[in-house]
Amino acid sequence: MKITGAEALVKSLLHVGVKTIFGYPGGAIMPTYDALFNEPLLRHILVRHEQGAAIAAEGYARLSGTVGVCVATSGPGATNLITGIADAMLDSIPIVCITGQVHSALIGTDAFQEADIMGMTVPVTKWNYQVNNASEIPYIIAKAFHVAKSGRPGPVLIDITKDAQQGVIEFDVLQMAEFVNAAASTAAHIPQVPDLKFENAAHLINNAKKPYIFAGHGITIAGAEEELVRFANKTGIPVACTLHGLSVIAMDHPLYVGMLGMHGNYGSNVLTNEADLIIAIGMRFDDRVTGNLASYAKQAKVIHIDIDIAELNKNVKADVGICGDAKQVLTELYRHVLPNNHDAWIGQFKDYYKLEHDTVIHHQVTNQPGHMIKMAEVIALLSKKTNGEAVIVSDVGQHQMISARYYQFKRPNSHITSGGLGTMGYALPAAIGAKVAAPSREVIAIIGDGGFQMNIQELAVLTQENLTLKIIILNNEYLGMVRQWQELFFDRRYSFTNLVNPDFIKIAEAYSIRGVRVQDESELEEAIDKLLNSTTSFLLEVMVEKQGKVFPMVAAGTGVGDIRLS
Amino acid sequence: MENFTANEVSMYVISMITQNRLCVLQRVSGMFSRYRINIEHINISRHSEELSYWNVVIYTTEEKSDLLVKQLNKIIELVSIKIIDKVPLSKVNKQVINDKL
Repeated sequence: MKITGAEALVKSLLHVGVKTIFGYPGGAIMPTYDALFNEPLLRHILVRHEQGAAIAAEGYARLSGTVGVCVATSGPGATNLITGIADAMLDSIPIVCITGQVHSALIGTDAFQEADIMGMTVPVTKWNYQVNNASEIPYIIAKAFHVAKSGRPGPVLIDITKDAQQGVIEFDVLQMAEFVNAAASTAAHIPQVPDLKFENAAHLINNAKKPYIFAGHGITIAGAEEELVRFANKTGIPVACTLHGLSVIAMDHPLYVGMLGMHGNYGSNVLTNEADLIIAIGMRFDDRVTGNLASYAKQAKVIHIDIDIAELNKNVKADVGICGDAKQVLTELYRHVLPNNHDAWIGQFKDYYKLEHDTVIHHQVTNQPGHMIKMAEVIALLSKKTNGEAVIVSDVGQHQMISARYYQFKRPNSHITSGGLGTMGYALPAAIGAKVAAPSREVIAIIGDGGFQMNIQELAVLTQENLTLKIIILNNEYLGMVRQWQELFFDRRYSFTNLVNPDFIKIAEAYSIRGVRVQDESELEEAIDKLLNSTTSFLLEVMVEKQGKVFPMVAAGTGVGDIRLS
Repeated sequence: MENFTANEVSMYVISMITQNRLCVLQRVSGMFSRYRINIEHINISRHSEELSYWNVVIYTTEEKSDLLVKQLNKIIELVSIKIIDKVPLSKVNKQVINDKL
């Protein structure tokens, strides 16, 4: 069958299982948009800014467990994707970005809307490729999806010249299937883990007095939540989660001991420096987790399990480094370890939790009459009302840390946020992608007043696509996290962190989205009920305490043992 | 756990084979600049229609060279990579460099 490159692109996408793409048309991608026009099997969601398309593709990828896809035109369309691509790179999210490029005869002439997007995206992609011949399209698409999804996932960018989209080729479904098989053999091979590694790891685990599991994003990516819980139950080892690891284990599980890192729980940080064995699974000892490495877990032996061998010994030296998929490694390791319990050790976490509860948590979730609502009150109430079963998509800043700390996750893959890059403006488009991927789940975007205004234009997508997304704006009229640092470390010099905001309810109304603003604690419960019961998208704006600070906190440059409660 | 002690700077000669494609030079060299490692000498030549052979000389520490090689190994177009020589900087002189290349 003779078809154009653009039609072959659409057929190839369908062949590799794509159902939804997020995009924005423009000159150099018009042939592809023409091919999309008559394609009922491929849902195209029109965003309002290409950054929204890349981030929505991330949200879609995270909740669907498949590759997210976004499409943009050349030049500014492509450059607008870059923040989302960099975000996907740091958080290991599989997305494929398809950009139009000027006609191949015009490349290098500073043509209209020409940008060297290949050069620009080299450092933020796992792989990128420029297609200037229609015949390459089927194989390159097959390879792009395999590269994005295999091993440690990441973003791939495919730049297709306008003439490649217009060229005519022979498209054969059987040949496409061969391409998919051929592509599967191209990416890095993950070697079999030698038995000796499991034996060494099991020896350390079976003999440890204070073993401690760090559960990261790799567990969600591998779909190894059940294996993790089974492993923890057998060995009786306490489990702490990284920011992206949240929800891999239910927070009411007796072995769950809290979140790691800068604004994690008190005991989970302090006891890092008391454990005799750390079993780190699918996490990378990011600086936000470790604080100052010079005083980090020096007493502990370390078993580090990660699919990316470059992560082993990168920040923390591993006594046993296992390069492999979390699901396979945990399944095998389970057979090597002995049943055990560590009740006295877990008791230490409980003692620290009581201290943290009495000095921080209790005050954060309890309303003081005459005071403004605190962020944690909103999240704790939301958690209760949704029974911890919603998908929480947070932006970046104080509300992100409060959501991570106070929402009691009970279901796997329920926490979506920008962890590595810390991209403000992430939550609204990511939540759109998540809702499209899982329409039956309650998806709630929790956003600060600063981040909301970074991708506020994507509200239009909710109306145009008739999505039911719930949005909570925690409005303190400040860039709260920066303000917190200015208060603590910059002598209270509040340099450009106060925001004079528009009326968010009126903005929502302009997009035909219903909204309610809450000022007083007495109105909060009813407003959350309204939000949750709404059958259409709904925006709840809660005016929260302006000077609120997130504690505990491992201040920059200090160790996890120096975590502050105030 | 113990601190990394391998902080001595040495001369490393890295040999690589990559696919012969656009943008590969940028992807590989970008990895060196990302880790703030200067390239002292580089030689790339086409070996066949498909493959390019590389020799790169850098001065760095064992810790950094180890990380660099692991990161380079993740490049999709990279076929193989090996550190073929390592000489402590104190022993490197012009003659040695010339011999190696």
